[in-house]
Amino acid sequence: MDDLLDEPARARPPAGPASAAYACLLLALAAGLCPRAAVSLFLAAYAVGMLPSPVQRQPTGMAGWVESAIAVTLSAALAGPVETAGSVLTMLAVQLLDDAWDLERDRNEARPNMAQAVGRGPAVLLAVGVYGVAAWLDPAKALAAGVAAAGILTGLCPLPPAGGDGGVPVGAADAAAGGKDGRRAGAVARGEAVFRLAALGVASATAAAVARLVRHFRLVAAPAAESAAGGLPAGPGTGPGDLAVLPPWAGWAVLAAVCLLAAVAVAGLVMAYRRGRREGAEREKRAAAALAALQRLADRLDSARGPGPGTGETDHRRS
Amino acid sequence: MKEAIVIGRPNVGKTLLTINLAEFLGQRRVEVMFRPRDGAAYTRIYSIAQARADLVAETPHRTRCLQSLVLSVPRGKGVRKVVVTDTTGLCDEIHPSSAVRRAMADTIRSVARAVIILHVVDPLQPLSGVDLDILRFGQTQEGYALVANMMDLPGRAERLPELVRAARPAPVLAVSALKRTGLGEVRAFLRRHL
Repeated sequence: MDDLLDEPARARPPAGPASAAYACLLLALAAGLCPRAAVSLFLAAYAVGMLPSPVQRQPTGMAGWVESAIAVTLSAALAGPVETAGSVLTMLAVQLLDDAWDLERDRNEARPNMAQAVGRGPAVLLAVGVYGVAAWLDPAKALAAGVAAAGILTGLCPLPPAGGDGGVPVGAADAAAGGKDGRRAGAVARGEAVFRLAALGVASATAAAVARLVRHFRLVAAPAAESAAGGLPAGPGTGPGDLAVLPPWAGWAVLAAVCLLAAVAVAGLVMAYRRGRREGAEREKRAAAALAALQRLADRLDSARGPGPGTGETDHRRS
Repeated sequence: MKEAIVIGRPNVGKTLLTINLAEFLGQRRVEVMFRPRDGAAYTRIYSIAQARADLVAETPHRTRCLQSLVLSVPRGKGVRKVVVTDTTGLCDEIHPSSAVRRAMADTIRSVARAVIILHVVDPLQPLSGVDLDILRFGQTQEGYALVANMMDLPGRAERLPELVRAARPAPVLAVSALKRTGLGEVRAFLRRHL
């Protein structure tokens, strides 16, 4: 889903335009297996994904930070504040590492990147620190998410395109006409897709096995069955979602942070609505002014007489 | 049917981009409707190779009137048709030919009614006055994209970040009409706005 959102500058998602459908399918499977972790990790990824450009306007008309606040609030309501905190910190660590990895490419393509602000080394150190806190809150989920992220990034890393069009076989038309080049490019692309799917499958299985082992050897407390803090069932092998497992000061801190985020989200919604109306009116005014300028240029071209040969006259349409 | 217009300075590759986009979308022939200001519109059918030979030239202002062709863009489980109009190159100077000036005026007027505007530029050349006028209008429209062509030539890739900053919030599509790369981006952009 992240690769699909990043087009056109990024490498193609392996499933092309169907990536959104496959992403939804995987999310549905994850939610079926482990509802609380799936919801909190997805909403955390959503929230953290907008951190590199927090003031960028999203398709909803709201700034990125407002949508992040809403996502975190929803996650806290559905999965519990501790589960949410662990997921947010885990995804933040993954995002920082990803940004540190892509620093040069993002700089060349003028794309937002958190590591640009702090530097590659500090971003990696920050990721390690944040991941440490996430692991303290929920070791099993942090470990499983880390293994899964490494496997997914390996499986989806951009391989040399099969054809010339950034992943779309250049011989597409040739293949349609029965040409050899298009068929060969198609076979290479299919091989790449199989490799990536296999890498994802191995990563998923490894992550699940790691989580099971951590629980089996009781490296963390037994999970609460149906926590009052969150509306979703814990699911097998999930981490603690109840504030009661934390020291009192940490529990109050997490609760306060979530309440603050909820207030910020509501305020952001109201501000975004009002700003949207104001900006729509401004945009219409700018469009009308620009169109009038173009119309005047067209009128001048229609009424102009061409310069004589060698006169060197130019269009003084701006004067 | 919605209209997409391909606009830009002379010799930036507008016509070649239009023809190669048709080929990329699976067409082997194109039916081009020529719409001169004086005189009736007429239609010619070309194969892709013939269209390239006849309509594309190294000299500027080969295209002297609006030229439209219908493309089928796959969307979901069906296709959407769009009229893609290739135009005369726009320049800041007064062209000595009145036919070219009239064609430029028609081009500028057609910007207002197009739903999709593909503004083709050569990243190595600074944006001209008329480029900036179109960019200012395009930045207020949903269906506007700056198409950075000739990305296969040296020096263009380095200028891309600067172009992205200048065009923001409009998207920039990096293509090479000659090498037929980046056309997937153009197709995706068309699909989103049809």
